[in-house]
Amino acid sequence: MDFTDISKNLPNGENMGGIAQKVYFGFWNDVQSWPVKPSTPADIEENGVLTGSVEMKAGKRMFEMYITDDTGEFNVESVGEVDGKSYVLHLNLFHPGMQKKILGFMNAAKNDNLFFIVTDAEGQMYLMGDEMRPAVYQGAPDGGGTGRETAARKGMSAEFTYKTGNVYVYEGTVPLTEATSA
Amino acid sequence: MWQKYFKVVKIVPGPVVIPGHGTVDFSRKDLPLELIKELYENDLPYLDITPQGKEVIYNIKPPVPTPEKKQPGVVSTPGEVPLKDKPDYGILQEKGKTFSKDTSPVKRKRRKSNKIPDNNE
Repeated sequence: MDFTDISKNLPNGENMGGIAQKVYFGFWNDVQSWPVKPSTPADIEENGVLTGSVEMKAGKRMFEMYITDDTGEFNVESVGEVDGKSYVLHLNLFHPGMQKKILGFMNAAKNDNLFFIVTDAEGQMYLMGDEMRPAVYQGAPDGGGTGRETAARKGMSAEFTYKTGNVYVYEGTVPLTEATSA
Repeated sequence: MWQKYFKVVKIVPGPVVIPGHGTVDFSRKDLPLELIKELYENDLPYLDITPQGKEVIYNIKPPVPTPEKKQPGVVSTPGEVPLKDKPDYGILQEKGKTFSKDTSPVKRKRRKSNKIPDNNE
């Protein structure tokens, strides 16, 4: 792989912050196959993208979750010592309300292995999870509950993290329906 | 209707988030054929083409089955017995010809004609 020039590249001048108001998720154990990381990329652009899609096992599917605007964040943290650098990807989100579905999700997710697909404001997606590591619940940095004042925001926040050697764009599909055997 | 020409595979027909196209709900019958064709040509793994789609959209005719040449000893119709398994009726066995099974108890006579005897005669 050779380096290439990296120019200012903002198609249509778009470069808005934040993430979309939907994140996609599923159980890590329900994944049949994962997209492939670049092994012998031709250039640096190819070195930043996964090939293929997350394929679910028969009878299993991915799901979507609504999050309040301006509460979601996808963050890339660099970690490790010299010659041992890697990344921890963070997803923070806030779901409004304390309905049974979100409480049930939190109950199930807090100690289970998950994966997430996060979409940024330009529609570019990032996958948190691979065949070796899932995304896991870390806590609720923005809290959760009813709030104190009547003007407070009631709901549940959550943070999920995923450790990875590299960061990639996900260009696969997200079927929100069950996989079949054929 | 696009479902005459393409079918959904690997998933139950329903919504799929596709980069560059948003969410496409494959359970809907009114999706534009051009969109489906584009997704199929872009190797979306959840679409396959039907024989009718091949013919109408890509003008690929289904292969016409060619009639098989009868080989000696090959059974082509029920009740027909290959020459090699045919009981010896005293008839000269000719290459490339098969005979129908004769269930008649009447002993057959040799005929002078080369015509293959019809058992129902």
